Amino acid sequence: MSNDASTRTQALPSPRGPLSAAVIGALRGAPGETLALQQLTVHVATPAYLDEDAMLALYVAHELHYRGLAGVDDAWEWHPHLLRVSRAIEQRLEADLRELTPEAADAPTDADGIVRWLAATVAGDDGPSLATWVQKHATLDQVREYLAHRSIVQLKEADPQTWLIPRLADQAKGTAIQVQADEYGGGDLADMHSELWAQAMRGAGVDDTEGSAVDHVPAISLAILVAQTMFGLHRRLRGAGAGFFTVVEMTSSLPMRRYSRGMRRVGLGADVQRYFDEHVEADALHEQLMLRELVAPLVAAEPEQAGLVAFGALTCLRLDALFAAHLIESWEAGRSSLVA
Amino acid sequence: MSRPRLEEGDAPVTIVVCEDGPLLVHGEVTVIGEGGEPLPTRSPMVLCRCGKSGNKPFCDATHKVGRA
Repeated sequence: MSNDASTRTQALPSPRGPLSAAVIGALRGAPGETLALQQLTVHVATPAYLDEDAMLALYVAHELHYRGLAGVDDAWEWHPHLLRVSRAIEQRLEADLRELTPEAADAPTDADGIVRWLAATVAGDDGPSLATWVQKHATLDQVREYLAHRSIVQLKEADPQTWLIPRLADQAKGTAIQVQADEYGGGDLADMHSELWAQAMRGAGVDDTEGSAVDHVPAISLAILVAQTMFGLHRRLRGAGAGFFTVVEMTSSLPMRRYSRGMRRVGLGADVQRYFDEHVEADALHEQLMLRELVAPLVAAEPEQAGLVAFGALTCLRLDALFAAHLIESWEAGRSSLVA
Repeated sequence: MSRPRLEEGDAPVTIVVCEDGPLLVHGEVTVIGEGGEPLPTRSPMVLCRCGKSGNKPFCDATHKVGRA
């Protein structure tokens, strides 16, 4: 069945190269007409997470697993010719992310060890602080750019991690449910974190329609979602999904306070600050729950997942650092960080 | 290090001392503020153990500030 734009599904974005043009072109048609996809040579630049064309093509293919795209037949989701293309991009992405995170191979494989390793790794991370920059220097326009970039992830906040739930067992599963319940506002739309982000966008005068920012953000902003989606969709990578999720919670409380202060400094109100304020206390709790009651029991039960937990954790830190560097470098040079 | 399993007769509240971190409290408890009023709480919750939280008595991760 086709989706209708009136159901709030996002529109197909503009292609950025041959891969995304082939995928987007195919999705405009019926799932049978796939000659262009069958004949497509999947060429991905290195590193894949900075390849504009490949990240957009994979973002679009992944979107079929979330809420679909306006005018695109839902049957495309499991079409083998599309899956061949998205799988080829994912394989390159996973290989390049592993190359970005070589020390994951040396992480401890016991529960206490991996928890201490995560705490030390996050504490020792020397990536640039976007939160500090926003708190002290950002203009209102730069804050708006930040809200648009992060909307790719935040308007589906918690969704990539929900795929972990059926892949975990016992207390690890229970903890994932407990943390996710907070992310989804305990089921109240007004408290859902995705809705709080949309409210922040509206309050700052930014279009909060899902997908509206896609044409304006670079590959790295898409890659932060695409990597999480890949970890969520592949059961094999559940440890990486758990590691990424844990670092998101571990690196949230302190930066959220700085973002909130930055928003206030540029004159934005409580409606914008609420998303950030909500995360200060909630994520101080989530950090402990994720470490002690999700990662620890997961690794105790499946020690072979420890290396993947470390891989996912470092992927989060490294992609966030590349993202922060792009924004800060653009702004310090007096440029927009968005794609022209 | 998994969540402590409660046995019959155990106290309904457990407090986990987190290494270099807060007190993680499981179970229904009432926290009374300095002014004598009950504070809104989460369950579980994290209570500040370093004294530096900007949201005392709850943890806001400030214990990590300035740590190498």
